Amino acid sequence: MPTDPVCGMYVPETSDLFVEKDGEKYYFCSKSCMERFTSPEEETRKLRSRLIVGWSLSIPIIILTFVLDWPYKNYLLLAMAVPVQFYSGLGFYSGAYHSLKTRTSNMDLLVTLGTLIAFIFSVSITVSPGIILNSPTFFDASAFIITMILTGNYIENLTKVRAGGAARKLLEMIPATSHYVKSDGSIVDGDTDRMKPGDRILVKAGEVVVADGIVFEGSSEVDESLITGEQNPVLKENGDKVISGTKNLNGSLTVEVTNVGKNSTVSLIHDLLEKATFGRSKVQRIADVFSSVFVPVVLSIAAGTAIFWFLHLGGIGNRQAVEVAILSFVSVVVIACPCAIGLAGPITFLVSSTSSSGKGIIIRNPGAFDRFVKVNRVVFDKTGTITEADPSIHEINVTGSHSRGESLLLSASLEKYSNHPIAKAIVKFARDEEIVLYEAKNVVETPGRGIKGDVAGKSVEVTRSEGAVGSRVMVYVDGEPSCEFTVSYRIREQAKSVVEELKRNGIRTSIVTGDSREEAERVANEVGIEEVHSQASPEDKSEIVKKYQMEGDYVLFVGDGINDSIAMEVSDVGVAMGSGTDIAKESGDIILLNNDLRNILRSKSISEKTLAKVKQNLGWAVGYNTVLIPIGAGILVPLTGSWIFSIMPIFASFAMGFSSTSVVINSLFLRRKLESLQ
Amino acid sequence: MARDVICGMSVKEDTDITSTFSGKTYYFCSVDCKEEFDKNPIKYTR
Repeated sequence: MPTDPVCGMYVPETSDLFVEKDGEKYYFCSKSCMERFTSPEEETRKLRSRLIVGWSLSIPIIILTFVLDWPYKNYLLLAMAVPVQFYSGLGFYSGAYHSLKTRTSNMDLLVTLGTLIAFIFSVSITVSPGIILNSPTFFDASAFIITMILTGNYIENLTKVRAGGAARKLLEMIPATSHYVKSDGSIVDGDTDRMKPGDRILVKAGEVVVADGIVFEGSSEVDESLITGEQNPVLKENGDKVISGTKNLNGSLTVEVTNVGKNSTVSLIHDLLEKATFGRSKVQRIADVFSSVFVPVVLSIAAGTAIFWFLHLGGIGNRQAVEVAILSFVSVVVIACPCAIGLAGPITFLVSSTSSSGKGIIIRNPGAFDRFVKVNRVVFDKTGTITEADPSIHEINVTGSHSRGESLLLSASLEKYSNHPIAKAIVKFARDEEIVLYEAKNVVETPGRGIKGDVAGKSVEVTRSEGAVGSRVMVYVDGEPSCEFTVSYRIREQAKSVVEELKRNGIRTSIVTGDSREEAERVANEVGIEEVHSQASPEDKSEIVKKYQMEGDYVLFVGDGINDSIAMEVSDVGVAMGSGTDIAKESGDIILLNNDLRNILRSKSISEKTLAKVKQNLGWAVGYNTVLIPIGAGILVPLTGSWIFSIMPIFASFAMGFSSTSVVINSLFLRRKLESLQ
Repeated sequence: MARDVICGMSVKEDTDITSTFSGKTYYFCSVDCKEEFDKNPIKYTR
């Protein structure tokens, strides 16, 4: 049976309250939950107007109940209570109706039953005072309960709207019109909605990049902080990927679009953040089961309590037997509303995922938090994880009569015509030395072999060195060997300190790679990784993970979210080192949008703190219900006398509202903790 | 009633959607949960 993504209650699949979104079907226990899911802003607006009516009438009702002495007082109270009961409380009726229709039970049913019984009893006393002589009315209780519970719902909704606001703001930043570059080079402004992959667009300085793409022309620094958390501007040149939602700072870029609209990175991040609240941890599943049996149990206790007081007080001739029976029923159902239990997990996960996204950490599956806290082995992929994804020039050895500078100039001038990663590394190396490159002629590139052409009147060829496995390339000028480049993948700056920190926490480390043993050991030794697995295929990587699991380890796999997806799926926690693009293809429970390896340690802290907060919230919510139900049922009557029931419903609604609000506020403390993570 | 180890739901033991691992039978609420389990049973049985 699916669970309501808003309140966590079980809902049968036969329910007609469902929404299909992004290929998934979400079921709801009530119309108000469905509306809160589909349009939280609209729901907030509705709640606000109901709340204004609720508070502006409930307070006078309470005051008049106690201070007004007038023969028609009850009619006045009735007139004031009707809008609260049937306008402010409207959402609860539809929820209760749906609950009865699907033969399930939800919080709305409890609120409706409690307030309606108090209201109907009070109406009866008002129109026929003779039924029970001198009995008071309880319009104050019914109105106040509705208003308090609405207040709790409103705060919860507002928190959700605000928490989801960061992602929505990103989407709102995408301008409605874009500059399309036509095939003749002319530029025409048009609707962004009509953009499709393959289009070329111009992004001017100061504008937001509307779609994912590859720079076709131009160069500029781009602010990626809102998407990847990277604070320094990133230089984008011909062939570089740009991400939707980032801001072009100072130059003009012509971009060939690869992903747009629903498939763009900014839209996918928005969707992932929204879905983050639906993940369920083990502890929360226990709470789900608790909630599903809770409502029928509460109704039984409430009915039992009412019958007990009616028989007990009636038996000793107490005239208030009916009033006390009704008030005890109302108090028990109101005090026991399980809103806080349903709220504890989703609101915490929401706060956790939105706070994490600010650091470039996207949590796809909060359910993995349970396993994350148990992780005692981290398996790293090598290329793109421990090392940079692209190679760089490690060394140049001059082997002929040309100088180092001349060899570099000639080879880089030729390589700028190639898109091969090694060619890009040579060009970057030359540009870093501020060498101005020549144009080349007659360029011919042979895949897997190399490139040749004429540069400054000389015949230049760059080719893989004989016997070398892609790590050395040789440059020939006019047929003579000129120099040899040694190419390597640079180890990321933080790799060593992250591995050390993991070890300090008692976590063992391994590296798996498709590369040679020699290269794998070089990297492992440099950063301090203990176990090395080389020449491993993607399937081998997943077998290695399983082997560790068979030995009792809880394995976290960090790798490229696309090529390592099999290993990531079988591991206890999969962390994908995203480059900020291709999120749709990424697997993994957690995606790191920037390449900061320290985010692995931060993700661990986030898991621990989030799970602790969920447990704390659930403990509070369950404990609260357990302690207060006996009070609602009248356990204090031997000490206070039965008069306590005259204030019990109001006390119950206070306690109920306080319970939900405290869970929300407690979750917001988590945000502060997560945002201060170093 | 058995418990689906993937989603946590209660499942009747007469369901056809089951998997056996290390001599023990596991029951699932849906084929999706069974497929997730079958990818790597040990992940969900420790």
